[in-house]
Amino acid sequence: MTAVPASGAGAASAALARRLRGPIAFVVFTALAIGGFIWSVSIGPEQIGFGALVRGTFAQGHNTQQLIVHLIRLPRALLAVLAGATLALSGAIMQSVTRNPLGAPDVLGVTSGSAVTVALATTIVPSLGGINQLFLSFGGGGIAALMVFGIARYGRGGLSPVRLALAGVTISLLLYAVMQGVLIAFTQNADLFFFWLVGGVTYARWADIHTAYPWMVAGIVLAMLLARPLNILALGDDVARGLGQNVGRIRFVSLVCVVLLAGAAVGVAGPVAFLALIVPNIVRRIVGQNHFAVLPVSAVAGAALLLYADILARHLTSHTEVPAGVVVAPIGATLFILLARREKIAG
Amino acid sequence: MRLSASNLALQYDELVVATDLSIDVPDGQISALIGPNGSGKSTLLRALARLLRPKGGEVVLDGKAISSYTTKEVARRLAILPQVLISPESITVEELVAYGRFPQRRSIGGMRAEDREAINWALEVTATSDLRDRPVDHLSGGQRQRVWIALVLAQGTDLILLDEPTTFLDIAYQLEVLELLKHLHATEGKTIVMVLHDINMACEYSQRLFALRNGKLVAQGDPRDVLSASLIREVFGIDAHILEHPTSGVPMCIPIAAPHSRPAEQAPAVVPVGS
Amino acid sequence: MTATPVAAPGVAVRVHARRPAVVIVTLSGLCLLTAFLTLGVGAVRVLEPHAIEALFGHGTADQIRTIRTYELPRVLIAILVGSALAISGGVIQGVTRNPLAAPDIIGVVKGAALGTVFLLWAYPLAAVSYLPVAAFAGGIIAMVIVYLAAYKNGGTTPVRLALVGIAVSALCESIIRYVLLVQANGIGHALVWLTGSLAAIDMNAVYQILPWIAVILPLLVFYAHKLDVLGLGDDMASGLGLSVERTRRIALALAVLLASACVAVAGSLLFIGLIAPHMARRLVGSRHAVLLPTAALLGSLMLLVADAIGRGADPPIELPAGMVTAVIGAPYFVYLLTRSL
Repeated sequence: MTAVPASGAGAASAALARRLRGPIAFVVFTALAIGGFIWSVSIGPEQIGFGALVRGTFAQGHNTQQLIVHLIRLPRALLAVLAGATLALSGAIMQSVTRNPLGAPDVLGVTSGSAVTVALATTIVPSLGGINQLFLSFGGGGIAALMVFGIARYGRGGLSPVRLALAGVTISLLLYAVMQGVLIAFTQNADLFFFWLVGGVTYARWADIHTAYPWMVAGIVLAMLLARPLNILALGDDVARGLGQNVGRIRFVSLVCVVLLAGAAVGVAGPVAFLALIVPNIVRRIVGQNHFAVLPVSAVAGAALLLYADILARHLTSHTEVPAGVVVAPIGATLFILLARREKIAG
Repeated sequence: MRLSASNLALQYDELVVATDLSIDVPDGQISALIGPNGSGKSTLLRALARLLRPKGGEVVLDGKAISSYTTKEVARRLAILPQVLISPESITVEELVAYGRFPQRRSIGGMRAEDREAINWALEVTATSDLRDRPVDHLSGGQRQRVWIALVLAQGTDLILLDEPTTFLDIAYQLEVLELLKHLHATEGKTIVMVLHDINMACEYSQRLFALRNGKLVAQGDPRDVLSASLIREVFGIDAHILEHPTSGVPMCIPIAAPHSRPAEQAPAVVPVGS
Repeated sequence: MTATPVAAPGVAVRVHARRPAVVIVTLSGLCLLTAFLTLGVGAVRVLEPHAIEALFGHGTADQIRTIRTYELPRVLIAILVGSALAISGGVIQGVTRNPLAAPDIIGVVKGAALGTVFLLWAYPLAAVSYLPVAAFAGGIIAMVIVYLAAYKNGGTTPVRLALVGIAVSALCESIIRYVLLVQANGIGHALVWLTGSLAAIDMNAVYQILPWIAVILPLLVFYAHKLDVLGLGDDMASGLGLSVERTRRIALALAVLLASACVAVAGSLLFIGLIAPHMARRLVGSRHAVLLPTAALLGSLMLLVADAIGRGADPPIELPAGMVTAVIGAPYFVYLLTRSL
């Protein structure tokens, strides 16, 4: 961080610039997200005029073009916004709770828990859908989260960031191996699952959005309420307690929020790797550590990222649909490697 | 003089610690490096031990640039006890001390008589012989530190560098360790360089004091000559009384709390990489 | 190596590790026994002791052929691959100074899998004999990328290696999924192989992997002590005269070669490289000269049993050994973590 000048006008404007980082970033990313949304809705195999786009957005209509917009493109873009926002938020919260820049739901196995539970359940019971799928997602994610946390807390070595990350990764591997084994026995559904496992919004439907939407909104609201407690928690457990905060309760509520957010996102869009890890990290570098800035900006940045990733994915191959996760993963992995090189992460 | 450094430029990534640091380590004496956090004392020690490659300047060991030796050759002339010490699980004292013979031993092959002798001597001198079969994790802080020193002694070098050997020990153990070092110097003539946080311990146990601040050597010499209120103010930014130790006559510093002043922050100079 | 418990006031003393020699001999015996016992398990059930007899040439032509052509290679591979993966894992854990590291996580296994998937994608009709080559290349390339990405200021650190390994591994995983998506056919086949299975093993596989093991194992014996010193911390090891970066690099390279060879032959068998060294450490301590052989024996045992379970649980359906190791390994891993990280 730059040193604050000792006195003078320089100090005042520097401080002001710092305080404005959050709002400015929020506006910028929201603009990006809106632009991405419009772009996403307007592209596709069918050429659709602007008028039809607008009409299709607001009403189903009877015109084929409007139908396409309303039933296919709109849910897709909307889901990208929702899933991107909730995933990024869940990552931001989890990283704060674990005080670990690597502490993202995908790294820590939460999304794997959700994904595997959903995959297994819908393989065994193909008729499963909608709200039940969502609950399974929550359940699986919750259990995985508890496992990882339990392991990390009671292990002798303590909660070093790397150990936590490795524990989460191993649990993910574990879960996926089991899942692959089961999938082998029911090979006919495997294709669909591989698609879904990469994570993306390609086959978004209104039904998905209707099911997930309330939970996502609940999660987002809860997340915003956690902004102040998380700010205090960041000062350290002891200091937070000294300031009157119930540390255990905040952690628990945060974990519930993470499972809610990540579980909902995974339930409808699959486990998009790295998004929850990377977006909050980048956002923090831009706006600092204040959760009143980090949380909202992460949400809109995540939405924007997933929107653009989906757009890019649609242009990748001409003959097949490719899920957005394919684009997010290499970007995320590269950024993660850069992170690992720079940060002095105590090992 | 066996170990010296001239015009060292030291940095970690983008953090510049020193730009032009020179030091001559006096043979056969105990030297102490003192200074506030970030002054570069540990960095300097690590550079002297070849654990850190200087961006400029050079460290000279026994007449040659230290970078021209192989790691093993350096290990046969100079031993370092770093701050980070990891002992393998359930290892006994004797097994741990035996690691000290690594530079002398061949890759394959058992222990020779001289290895055993060195180990036994090291255990004896550190008064840990009767602990030799105990697991290291079961020892007290002071015992464990003595065992690590035994490991370093088993290396059989006359030059020993220690990075904050007493920092996390309570005071009884601190004295234990420092007395041991003093004894080693007196009986074996070892050259010892240690980084210490405690100014008074440094004065009591060393014959030469090196005071650093901001990567610069501010003062060096016999503690009796060098320690003064103005030195403390310059190096640590606080006021202090200088008294004589009632028994040894060595100068001691007692800080004076000042209600309004805060120690001036040492701002590390940040140099973008590549410039 | 055992120490008699020393009673000291207020200090509870655990009994030291059992004599490693005893452990190793016991495990070897167990291994051999299991190998013989599992010879006869499978779709074509050959009961003991006929299986052993058939091995030596007595019995019906069918039995002899089954045992010699199908079962024997599998058992041999189980032993070889199990040991190699366990040793590879042990070395990687030593190099990264992290008991949670393993070939599976550090990028090798996924890289090798990716290599194979790429080959199948580009040449769907590629001869089976090319698959191991692709796996091998994939594993090595992945590790080189991991090493280079973790290299900074003249060296790598265990933390960076582990983290970059995670990233590269996940990246490979995403690419694998993508390729499997675009190339719709043959998913089932690829899936089985990816999970790790000894299904299509014949004596060729044994000959393929044997040279690697024969060459690398003695080298690792040489490195065992250096790995011990490395475990004291980079600074201390350097102070004791070890070329830390070079040792790390070479040891990693050897571990990667071993792991890649294993994946080339048997697919990605997870968890053996992680758990076998762990268990070995609890049995005989962390001195690599005894740790690695013990881990090898445990790894062989694990794979022998896993494969047997896979074959015999529900004939003629064969569960891939990789899935069995995952299902059994997982709870054990969780248990391990809660006990001591």
